[in-house]
Amino acid sequence: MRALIAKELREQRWLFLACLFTISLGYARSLYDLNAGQAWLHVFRRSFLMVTTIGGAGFMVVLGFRQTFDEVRRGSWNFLVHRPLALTHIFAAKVFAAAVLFSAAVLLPTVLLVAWYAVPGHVAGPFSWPMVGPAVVDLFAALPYYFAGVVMGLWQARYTVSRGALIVAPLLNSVFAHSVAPSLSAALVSSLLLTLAYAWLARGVFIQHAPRSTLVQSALAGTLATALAAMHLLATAMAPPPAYDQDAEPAEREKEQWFISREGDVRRAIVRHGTVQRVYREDGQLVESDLDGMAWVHDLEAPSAGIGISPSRNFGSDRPSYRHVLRHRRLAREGDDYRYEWYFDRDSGRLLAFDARSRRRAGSMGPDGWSPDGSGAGFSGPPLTDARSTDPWWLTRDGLFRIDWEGPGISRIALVGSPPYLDHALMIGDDGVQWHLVRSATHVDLFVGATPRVALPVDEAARGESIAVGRIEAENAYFIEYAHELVLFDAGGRVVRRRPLPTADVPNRAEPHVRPKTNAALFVPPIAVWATMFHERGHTTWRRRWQTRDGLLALAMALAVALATLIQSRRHERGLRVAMALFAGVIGPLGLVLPRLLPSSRGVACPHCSARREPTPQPCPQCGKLLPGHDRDETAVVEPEFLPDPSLG
Amino acid sequence: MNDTPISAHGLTRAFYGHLAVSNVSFAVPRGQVFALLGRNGAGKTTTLRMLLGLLEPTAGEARLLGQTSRDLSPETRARIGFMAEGCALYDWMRVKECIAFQRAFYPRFDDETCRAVVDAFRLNERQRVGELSHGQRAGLNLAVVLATEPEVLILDDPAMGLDPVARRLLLEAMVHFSQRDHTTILYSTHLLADVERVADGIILLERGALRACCTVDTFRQRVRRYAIPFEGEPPSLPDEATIIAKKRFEQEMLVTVVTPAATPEGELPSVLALPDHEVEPLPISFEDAAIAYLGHRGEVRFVVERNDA
Repeated sequence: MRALIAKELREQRWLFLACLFTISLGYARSLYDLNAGQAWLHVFRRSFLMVTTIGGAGFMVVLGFRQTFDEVRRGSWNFLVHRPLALTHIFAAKVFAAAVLFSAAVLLPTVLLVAWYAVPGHVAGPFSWPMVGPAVVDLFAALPYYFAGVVMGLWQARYTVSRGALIVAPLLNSVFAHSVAPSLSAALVSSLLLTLAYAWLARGVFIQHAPRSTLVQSALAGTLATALAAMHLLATAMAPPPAYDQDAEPAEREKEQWFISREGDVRRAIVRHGTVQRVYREDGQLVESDLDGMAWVHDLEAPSAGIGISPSRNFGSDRPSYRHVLRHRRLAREGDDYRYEWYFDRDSGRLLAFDARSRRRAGSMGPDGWSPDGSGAGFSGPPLTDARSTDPWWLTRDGLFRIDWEGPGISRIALVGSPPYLDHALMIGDDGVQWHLVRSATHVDLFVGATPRVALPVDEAARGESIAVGRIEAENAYFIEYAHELVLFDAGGRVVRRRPLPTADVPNRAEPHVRPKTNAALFVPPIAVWATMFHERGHTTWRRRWQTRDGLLALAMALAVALATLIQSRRHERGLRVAMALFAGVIGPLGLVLPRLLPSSRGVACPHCSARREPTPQPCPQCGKLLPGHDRDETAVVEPEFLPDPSLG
Repeated sequence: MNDTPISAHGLTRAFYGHLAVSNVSFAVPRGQVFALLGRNGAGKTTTLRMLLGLLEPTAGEARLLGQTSRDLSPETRARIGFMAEGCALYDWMRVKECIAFQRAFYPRFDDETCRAVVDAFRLNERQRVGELSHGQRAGLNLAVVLATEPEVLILDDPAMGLDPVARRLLLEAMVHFSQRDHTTILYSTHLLADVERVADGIILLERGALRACCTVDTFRQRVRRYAIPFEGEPPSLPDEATIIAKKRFEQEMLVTVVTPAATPEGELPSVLALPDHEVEPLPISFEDAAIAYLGHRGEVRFVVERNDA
């Protein structure tokens, strides 16, 4: 066994060295960036880990493929498997060698990098072990690729596609582990389960001349099903199911739109080709003087003037992921001439500062101020604003703060409304005064400078709607448009007028222009077309017309695919043929690969009439002739003493 | 003790639904050398791979040293020597590394035997396998196989592509060590001239089916050649399958016949009982007999028929 392992290590040494060089180069490049001051490119960021994600997976799949395919290609496979060892041991020797090479080429550089990173003074940033989680997941996600490569190398495929299908499941797992898995354990368990399934499959294929177990067959079927499903998802994504574009409007139709005028009045405008044609007061009187669309202060359909609030990217709104919820969130800064690197530490709730030159921790900051030794209370929660920026405005549940990042120092602007605050927006007025709009669970508060000016109660039904703030120059007033209400107030913050607004959803009386987006019925699974039809049934005449067309196309495609599958699968047993044809008809053109993927029956072609038959001593049911070897005639020269004992057969 | 270390019981194998080997049964007695013969694509390599458990039969079963091939234990496999077609070894290994690699798996590895064969083929131990000539590769492969002192030796066309000297050397080494150790040998070959000198028996495959399984002597006795001189029109021969070759040379017709098993050596086969012609037995070499036998349902018959009277 040791000789086999040594042989494997020697055979793959060049591949190993190439991988080691590539991965080390990737890591070295990142270290260079770190040393060059781009410390934000820290080691455990997603983009940096692409070195591990792609490098590890690529190495493993090539390694597995080479370990088996090369043996088969150069003819040494028979020499190898004739070793006086159990085939499982030969397989284990290859796996062990692969583990050693993977450890040396991928794992070791990563461990060294982590060790280097963890030593204080190397990187101007905090280190904690959970930060290594994404790297660990990437290393585990590379494991199934190895076994996929082993199977690909041994796969008795006439077509490359069925070999390639084997890598789809590891790819899907990588996508899941990298971008979808909500937790570290979910990502690890997913990779481990797939590794076990593929290892079992690879072992079964490796010793394929032993009877295949049910488990191996199940693993194979599961793998192929996953691959097929993935290919379908891909195909569906590339050619979406028929959808009916209701929003597309006929160009010739006119459209109603509501505006706020310079005077703060509400106007109804008729718009055509994006140009205002006519403007009416609310009482229906035509306004002749305001035909220029640019003169409007605010379009009630799409706030563009002033500021708008939309959910900001903060801790609260990120999709949960073990890669996102890092213990430390770095605050990005522009330029490279600054004293400190700042991180928000979720555990202590404080802002951590690292000296950009010495790369050691300089102190921390909380709501009570800067502390060189790191003592003091923390913020009561993560920032509610964009936590990745070093905007001087820092909104937390403790209030609105202004932070001097270089000082460093912190000052509270206001303790506003009822926590928790949801979002915050800033507008700089013409006079340079900063306006802060803060929305909490109960109020929308406007601050001019640090002075609270307007507090609007939050309408429960309109909590998620955008808020617009604008200036009405003619009256030297400002307005807030929120929850179908317009609040006008003067520069002193006094409310001048408030009035309800017509709904922003301006009714559009035009007939929807319905058209199919694509001829997707030709590309996507027929079942998806029919499902779309079922889901969208009972709509307009246009839609029904196109649905009928797509449905018929999908039906024709299903029949063609089913027929082709039936013809292709003539070497399979009848029941399986029918099942495959039906399944392929439902799932569409990709079903055509099914007969290539599933093992055919033991039936053989009769050498005399080409009809399918079992390899038995009985005559062919079609032509009545015997198979060769069963039709021995008088020219055969066979001595009974050289025939085997029938009792042993 | 098993008297037939190698046996096949109705071995059948299909690739992509087409039969490569069909219902092949034979048994090789202990200590004998059998040649597996057949034209290209006859199923020789497939049969050998099934025998060794390297390929699963579609039907039937093979047994080596009393064990079914698909379940050969490592201990049994250690008693079986195998030399694959093309002498597939690892090109990147040096000769001595290749020997060391083989030695690591076989506790009974006989360095003397290995050394003797290596010396016979004048192999440089520091040379890489990839740099060896075809004959040297075959010699190295034979050395590492014979050194394991196998009870059963299976060789897939070991002399393929070798020059006459290397071929003779290989065969002599094979026979020498097999006789010394009473090894049972089954080897496939296309070199019919060597079979007569080396083999005790033959297994002949045609299009995947067994056509002959007998001693070399029996084969020679059963496949006979006769000359039928004639004047004017050639004699009219019956359309019998046992007449496997007919060839006309001016006023003489050469006929090769497979005689029934019970036909004594001097007796004419019944199909050649021609009252108006004299039928003379001719000596026939094993090679000629085998070629006539192998070709009697193929292209050779087509050529013969063009000259046929």
